[in-house]
Amino acid sequence: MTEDRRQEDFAQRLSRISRERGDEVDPTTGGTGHDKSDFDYNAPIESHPVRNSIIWVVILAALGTGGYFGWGMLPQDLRDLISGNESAEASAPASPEDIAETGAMSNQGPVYASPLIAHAGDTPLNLDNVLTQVSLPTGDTSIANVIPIARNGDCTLRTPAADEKVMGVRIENALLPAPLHSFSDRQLTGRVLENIEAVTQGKVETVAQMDTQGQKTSLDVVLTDTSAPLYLVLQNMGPGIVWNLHAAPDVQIAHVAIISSDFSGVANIQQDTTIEALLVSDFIGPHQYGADDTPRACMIRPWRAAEADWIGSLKSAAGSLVYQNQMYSYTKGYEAYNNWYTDALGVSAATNTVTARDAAHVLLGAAPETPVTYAQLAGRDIHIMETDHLFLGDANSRSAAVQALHEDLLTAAVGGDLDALNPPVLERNSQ
Amino acid sequence: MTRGRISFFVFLLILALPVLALNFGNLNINGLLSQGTGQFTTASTEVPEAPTAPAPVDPYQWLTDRPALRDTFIPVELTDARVVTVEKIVSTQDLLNVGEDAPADSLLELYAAARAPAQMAPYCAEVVATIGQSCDVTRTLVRQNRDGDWVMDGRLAFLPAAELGDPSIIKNGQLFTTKITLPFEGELRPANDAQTRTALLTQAQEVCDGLRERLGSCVLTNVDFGLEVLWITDLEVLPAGTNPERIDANAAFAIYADETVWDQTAIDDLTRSFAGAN
Repeated sequence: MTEDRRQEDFAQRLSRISRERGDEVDPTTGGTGHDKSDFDYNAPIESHPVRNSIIWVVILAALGTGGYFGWGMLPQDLRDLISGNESAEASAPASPEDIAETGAMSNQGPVYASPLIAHAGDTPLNLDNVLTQVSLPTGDTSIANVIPIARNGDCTLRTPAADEKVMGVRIENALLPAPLHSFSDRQLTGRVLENIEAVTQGKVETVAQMDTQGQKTSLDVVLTDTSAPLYLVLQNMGPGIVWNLHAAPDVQIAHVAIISSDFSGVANIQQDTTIEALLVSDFIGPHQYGADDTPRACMIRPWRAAEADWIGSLKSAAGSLVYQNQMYSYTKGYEAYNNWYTDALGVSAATNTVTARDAAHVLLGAAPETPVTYAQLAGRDIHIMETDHLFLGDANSRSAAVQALHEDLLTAAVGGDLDALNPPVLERNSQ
Repeated sequence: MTRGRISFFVFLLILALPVLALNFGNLNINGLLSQGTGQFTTASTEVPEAPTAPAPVDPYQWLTDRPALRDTFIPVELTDARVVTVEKIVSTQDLLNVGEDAPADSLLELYAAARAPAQMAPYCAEVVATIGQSCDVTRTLVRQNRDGDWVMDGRLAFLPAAELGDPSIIKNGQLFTTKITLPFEGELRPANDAQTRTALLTQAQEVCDGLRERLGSCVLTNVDFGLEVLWITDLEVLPAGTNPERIDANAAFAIYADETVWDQTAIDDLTRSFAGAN
């Protein structure tokens, strides 16, 4: 302790000065009630609620701002880790661009590539469990004869008999090759025109390699239902298909009705099987948005009903206008098609029908207890819708012949010199 | 006293937090954190770039940096920003070569589409004779009219022969576009023949030359030769020898000018005055 009282003396002087000015002095502290200073010994600390509140508001605001921006600067995965929100991305609504097709599911529905077999069940079967002695066709498979099918001139199909069972397949593309090309003059002209316009409208410089068409595909249809003679309705919207039938013992194929957007056919029918065929373009024009929405007579474009698990449906739900329109077309198109189908055949288009966008093999009926013997295309007759051009033989020779036909027409259309499709740049000094 | 100092220190520290947070990017905190949480992020596969030779100087870098101007003002490329559009009506007979048999009706559209570029090529000769250093038929479209003839629309891209002006030296530059109908004398529009088209191309270029002299730059971006076919009826017979095909010619210009001096109305007026003077 010290005997130094200088500060206390100084404080007493200040108190005296205050008294002389008339200020009331607290006898216990030697100061005024409100005017406290560092010179006031043992002065009680006053609370300052307003000042402190302001300070704490500023502090909390600074904390909040810093936390907000700091949190935002952290990587998303670290934020998810810290917050324990591992499903943050999954729960957020995905944009259409983030939803991708998979090998098994396309924008327009399931894809069943060989060896998977599409059927009425949810899980595809495997080829080995359904077919035996399988010999898949190639582009070089040698067939016996091509037997033309005269297309129906009227938009009608034979009415199924009372004892017949209507079963169907409805797809867009078959995934197996078929050893033939066929196409009409109109298709040939249209394809050559597309090649010309690709040059004249600036998409490509020259017709270096003609884009041709007419290659057909094939699809295996395994039949196991022996409950009644079968009335098969084979429907597709894409390139022409040779439907190759594989009937289990005791299966009776009474009738095959083909409804197709292209020249399609059928192979391995039975002795008494009858065939008829509707070509979509014989009765209705190319699809344009809204054209197939209204149920009407002969609306035979074989739409499939859009399902919720299609990638296109997911994109539609995520806000894609393109896919909203496309799924609308599928939905409304199917309603109109189903209306015609029901009128024509007496059953819904969904009855006993397997659908997919693409498939290589389809099973109609229950899975067989013992695999069905594969009916190969080699050496068999193919019944196909008749048209203007048909090419058989190995794949290379067919492609060469088809290419030559397209090029001959292109050369004739241009007038001889293919360079005339894209004249050279004219320079002033070349005049 | 000690308590007050600690509070003040905490206060300053907290005030500094937002500043630190906002500077996370500069401190590469994200990169450090990502490295530290490699299992949650994709590992970077970037490798340091090997030193390369300095890139050659692009004489048109100024234009490259300004996409809105580039295709219009680039003097060494054919672009879609500078085109002459022409229309030609061709009968089926004129579509065919001398002595050539007519194809089936179903093939006529194919023939017309395939032969349209050759039908358009002669127009390029008129372009390089007047406004173009070079000319290319870049697009043709064909349709059949109600008379059964083939209407061919062609787009000819051209490299201007005239100076365009240097937009890079124009202060407060703003891109203006303006369009005029090229004037003609008499009641009938000018006949669709090579001489008339050549004169109209020259006329359009002269307007552009005047604008460039006044404003510092001008590009003739489009001359459109639309066709009108005069109908010959019993009530209104055209004089003998009158070409029924008449040209509706329009010209469009792009000008890069000082926006503190010029506005769209003034440029439109100036363009019309030049067109009227020619």
